[in-house]
Amino acid sequence: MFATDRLRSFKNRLGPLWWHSLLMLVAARAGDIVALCVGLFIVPDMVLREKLGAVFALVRLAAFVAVPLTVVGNVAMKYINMFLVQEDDGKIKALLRDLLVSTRRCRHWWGASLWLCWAHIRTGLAIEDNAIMWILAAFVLVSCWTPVATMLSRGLKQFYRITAARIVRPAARLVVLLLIRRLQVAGYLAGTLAQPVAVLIFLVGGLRRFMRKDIECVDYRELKSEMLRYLWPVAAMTVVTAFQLAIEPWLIRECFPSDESAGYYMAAVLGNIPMWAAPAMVPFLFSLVSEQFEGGESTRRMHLQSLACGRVRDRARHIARVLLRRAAYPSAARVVAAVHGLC
Amino acid sequence: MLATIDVLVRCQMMHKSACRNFRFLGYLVPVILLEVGVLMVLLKPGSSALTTAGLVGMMLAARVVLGVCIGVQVLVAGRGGE
Repeated sequence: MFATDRLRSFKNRLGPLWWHSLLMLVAARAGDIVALCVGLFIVPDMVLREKLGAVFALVRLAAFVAVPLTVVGNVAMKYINMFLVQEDDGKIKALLRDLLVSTRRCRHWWGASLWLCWAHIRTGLAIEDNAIMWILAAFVLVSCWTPVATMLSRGLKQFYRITAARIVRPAARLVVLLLIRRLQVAGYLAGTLAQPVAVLIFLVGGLRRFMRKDIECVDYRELKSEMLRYLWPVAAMTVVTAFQLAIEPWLIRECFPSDESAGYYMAAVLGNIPMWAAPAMVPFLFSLVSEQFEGGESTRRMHLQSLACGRVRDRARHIARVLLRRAAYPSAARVVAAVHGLC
Repeated sequence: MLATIDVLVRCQMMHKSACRNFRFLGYLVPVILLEVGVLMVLLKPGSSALTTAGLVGMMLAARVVLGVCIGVQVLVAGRGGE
């Protein structure tokens, strides 16, 4: 009882942003241990060295394909958060329903586009295995749903569920990789696919509360022009950043030798490890700032704190460099040396 | 450095879009398009116009410009400019 009170007082003193960031930090480190084991001990054994660079590009490609729904999801996150502040469950249900319908439509269109572009993708990434086609198709289909489910959970402030998903994600990947590790790149992609599938199932469980039959849908048509005005800048922001994130590894894969693109993959993955504090905060920042803004409060303090947190790297930087040196391939030394700037 | 500035950019994007303030697009869009455009022109398959260090240097330069722009925007906002 005493411990619970102390914990509650600690939580109140920290405030929602830092409390949830702290929980996310712990969950993310648990997830990182699993991801590190996978990255260091399982992936190099199951994926041939010259194919490793393709993995990063493929995963980024799937994220790029999901961009249209990410834009819609961003707008939905903002307005669903606003409806939550106004305690308007009817509008939340109506918005959720509309999103489900549009996501279902996008899925078919993406499947067909992938089928048409497959020859180019396969040539560009130098992959011959047909099984990858099916896994990539499944990955793209799941990619339709995952950003929407994640953003809705953030908009609805389901922070504990989002934090728990951070552990569910790598655990699902590890299990699948251990089961089918002999399938090389196809096995690796199946493991990568297991992550969003597990997270999706987990997050959708939290959205069911707003889809109950006793909640009547309330029309939000009067907000549609306002939503469209919000959508265009969000679309520009999302498309440009997704383009950058997709094109960098793609060019590296296409233009540099396989060993160097593999080195980039290892350096980029391990280089993200020291950024401990900031990514733990990012999933909660939008909803909390939006809530304060819609409530007419100043958001400057939270903004400055978030930017300061983005610069926290301290000793973790050194640890990541040691890991980079040990994990990188000797022939990729030039890339690793250059990408040391990552951490 | 790349990862640090990427996180700063994400924080800035999150905060400003939550407050429906999209002035940051004025520097974000041109810088990223310029970086990606230059990379695509220089990095044709089989070409040796850009070395690995040059590529990472270019990615880094684009992010440094973004970092400076964010700093200026925060300072201007602190002086009541936004």
